[in-house]
Amino acid sequence: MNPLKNQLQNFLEEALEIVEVIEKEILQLEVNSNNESVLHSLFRNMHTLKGSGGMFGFTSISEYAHMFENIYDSLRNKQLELDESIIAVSLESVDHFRALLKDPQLKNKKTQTKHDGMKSKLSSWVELRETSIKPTIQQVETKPVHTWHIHFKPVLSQSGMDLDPISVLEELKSLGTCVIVPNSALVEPYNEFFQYEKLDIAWDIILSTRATMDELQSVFLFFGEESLIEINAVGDGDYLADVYFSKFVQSKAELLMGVSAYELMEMANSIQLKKATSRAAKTETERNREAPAKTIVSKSDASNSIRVETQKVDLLLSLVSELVTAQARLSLYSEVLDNPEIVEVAEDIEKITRRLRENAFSISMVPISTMETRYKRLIRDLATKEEKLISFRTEGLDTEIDKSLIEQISPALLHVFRNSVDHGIETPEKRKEQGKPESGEIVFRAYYSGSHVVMEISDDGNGLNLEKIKAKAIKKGLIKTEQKVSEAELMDLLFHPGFSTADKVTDVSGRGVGMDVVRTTFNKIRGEVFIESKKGFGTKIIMHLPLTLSILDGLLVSVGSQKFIIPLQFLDKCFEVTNFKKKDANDDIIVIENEQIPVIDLREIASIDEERPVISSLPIVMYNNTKVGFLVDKIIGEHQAVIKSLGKIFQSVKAVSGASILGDGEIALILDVNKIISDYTANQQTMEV
Amino acid sequence: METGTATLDILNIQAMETLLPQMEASLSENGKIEITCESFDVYGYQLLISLKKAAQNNGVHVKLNTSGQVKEQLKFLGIEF
Amino acid sequence: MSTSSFNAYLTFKLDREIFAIPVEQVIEIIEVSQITKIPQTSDFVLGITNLRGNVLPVIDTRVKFGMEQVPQTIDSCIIVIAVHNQNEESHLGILVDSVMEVSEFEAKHIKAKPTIGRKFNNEYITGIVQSEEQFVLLLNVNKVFDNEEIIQMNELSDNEGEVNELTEELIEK
Repeated sequence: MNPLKNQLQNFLEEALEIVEVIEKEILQLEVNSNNESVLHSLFRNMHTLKGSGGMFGFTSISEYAHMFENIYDSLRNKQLELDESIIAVSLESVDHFRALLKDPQLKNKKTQTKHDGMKSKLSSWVELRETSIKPTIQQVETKPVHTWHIHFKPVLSQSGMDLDPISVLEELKSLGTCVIVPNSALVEPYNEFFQYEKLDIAWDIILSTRATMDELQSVFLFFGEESLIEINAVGDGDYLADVYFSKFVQSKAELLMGVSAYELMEMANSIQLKKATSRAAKTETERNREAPAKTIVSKSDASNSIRVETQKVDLLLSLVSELVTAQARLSLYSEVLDNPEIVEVAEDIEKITRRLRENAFSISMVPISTMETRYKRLIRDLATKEEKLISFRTEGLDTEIDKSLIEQISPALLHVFRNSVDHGIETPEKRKEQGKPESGEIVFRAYYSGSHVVMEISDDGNGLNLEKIKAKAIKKGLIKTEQKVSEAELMDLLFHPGFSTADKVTDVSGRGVGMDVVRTTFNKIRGEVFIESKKGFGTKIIMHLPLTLSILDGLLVSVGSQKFIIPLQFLDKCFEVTNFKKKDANDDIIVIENEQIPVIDLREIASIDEERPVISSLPIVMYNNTKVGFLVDKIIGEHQAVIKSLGKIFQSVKAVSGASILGDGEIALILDVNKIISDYTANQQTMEV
Repeated sequence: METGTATLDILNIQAMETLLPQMEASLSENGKIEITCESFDVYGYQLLISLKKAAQNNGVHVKLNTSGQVKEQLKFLGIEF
Repeated sequence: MSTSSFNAYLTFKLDREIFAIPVEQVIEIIEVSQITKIPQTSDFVLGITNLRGNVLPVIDTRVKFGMEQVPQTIDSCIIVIAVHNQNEESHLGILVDSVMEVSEFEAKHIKAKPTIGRKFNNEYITGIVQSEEQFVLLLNVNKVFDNEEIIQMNELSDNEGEVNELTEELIEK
């Protein structure tokens, strides 16, 4: 990737994270406005945002962050009192930062208008502050100094009309402190064949300057695309002022062989670490002086972590998956060979592979708490708007799930939270009437259960109004008036596409794109959603989801020479059927233990011609309270399948969701149980009509 | 060191002179290469780097006769003789 | 490129025709091993095969071109090609009767437009070259094995009749 783009990407990611932390801190301040450490931390975070925004020439961000920072500076210095209005404008600012990060150059008119609006909003507080400070010190916004590494290899055209690269180097000198390290790796030591007109010289330029990336790039404007110009930030601040750093650079210059940005960043990091440790020690003592009795409990935010590109993690995971497949093959052959030494090696490799797999998969796991702020914020905003009192409690949010899963389910979770606030929790007056405490409660719990993670969102609100649901279902033609429907079935209707119980369409929910979207989201990731509710006491949404998307526990079955995998989570029981024969084409019901169970013949679905054995197996799967039997030849056993996607061209295939490669290299197809069943029920319904 | 003078014989230096009108080069009696220049462009700069490399490798001595200003400029650009 | 106007192609045989694919789009040639059928797919989609622990879709090129299906021979093999669609590169295996050789064709010898009346959809062919008494058809791989088209054909495969009609449409009479 282009290094500049790469850096920009990093910046945007980091900035978004900072904004998220700021949001969390604002919400903390709302609860406890006297929490000074949060106030200080918020101020620092805003400062970082301002600095890095400026570094990339995003004046919109740095300018806005500066104004915001001013308000918090006043709060810190007690010139301003933290009140609701500041919290509100702060949260609004957080949203605005997110918008700015999407469009830092204010290319979109809407962002521009919003930006101006937000600025004038903030400025009322800022002015307040500036008048309150005795002699108004006109603070000139100076851009912070950064140290850059520029690799420059000019390629001049034949015409000889180019700008002399030397003059560019001179120009850089005028921007700040500049050390030039010639990079003569390609320049031959002088000999009789020396070609003077062949320009092989390059430079590594180290520059400490207030200039932004854009400004630096403009210096090189006159050099065509053939010239190599790579600009990388080494770090914040003037590193050339550091004795060690500048000595290091000088020593490199003497060797005429250049210096890489990486070397400099390493050097800069080691210096920064030294500085940071001494600073940390200092603040620690300061803090102790300020509040000697207070014990520090908060964990260090800067835990030992590194930032890794997701692509790299994905590659690692796919390699581990391949290793798991290869290892299964090895185990298979070692059993066949029955050589004790090979068996031993194979077993060792199996153990190591398992550990490696667990470890590798844990890399992409993140705690659910990473999303907490978003939920908190949503509930807060909605509650304020609807004038409801709601406290939000969480449990077990350190439970970890795959990062890609979190991203996928997040919109669904937000929807459930919206429902809880909108339809669940009643207004304080109503609650009082019912003898409930005025403030409602929403609880978000998460915990592990086997190879699954369970999440529950519950509220102590009104609960579901089953009569209303029934009436609506009848009106929509989902059930018939005289039809007997159980409570569970009624609740399940909520997941029906297009079903929404809200009487009027509110801003928040009730647009009819409700719980069915939640269910679809979870089905997509092989999860499930249930609902529990008691009238007057509240509603609970229970969501099950797999720990990871890439491995599946399944039942390996065969039909003829073809193998299939049925996900274990759907498996109910297994039976055997002797001499299976249909009376006619539509006869597909089998009675087992007094239950009528429809049978889906995999032989038909997969059009397999091989003859059916006398005894067939019938694993029964259950999905959405519907039981279905899959008619197969043989059950081979449980199998842990590494899921391989079939590829784009098979995206319309409904019966199969993926493939897995077995130990002997054969391919087994993973059955998409919920699609097969929903297709089946849909077919049944059309047949009835 | 003798090897150095061998690679940088007088002919080459004269050839170099014709190529780079801005510079004057000569081989002094004690085997030193003397360069005289009052200004340079990027090609001249590259040649000086190349000479410096040859000097580092072969132990040839290069002497640069020029103004203090040019010397300063070259120093900024990362070469000193 | 100023050096030469020669382009390298891999040629293969299908029925009595010779086809050619630009070598840049050929990844490797593999033997035909076990192919797993996928339900609900068009009949020219043979299924998937295990290529060193990864899943590779395989297309029966004969069926795709509306030729008669024949039993595989010792010469049958799968050419793994890279197909570019919508800025995406995907790998696909195509089953052919036999692989011939890598030939270089000079650009000026390639006739740009195939003469009308030939059996195959013009869109699929980028040009024709005469090489030793026989015509070689240069295939537009991205067009012949267009992902979107394969998906559409798969969707249609539930109603077999429609597929045949469509295939017939694609092959000019």
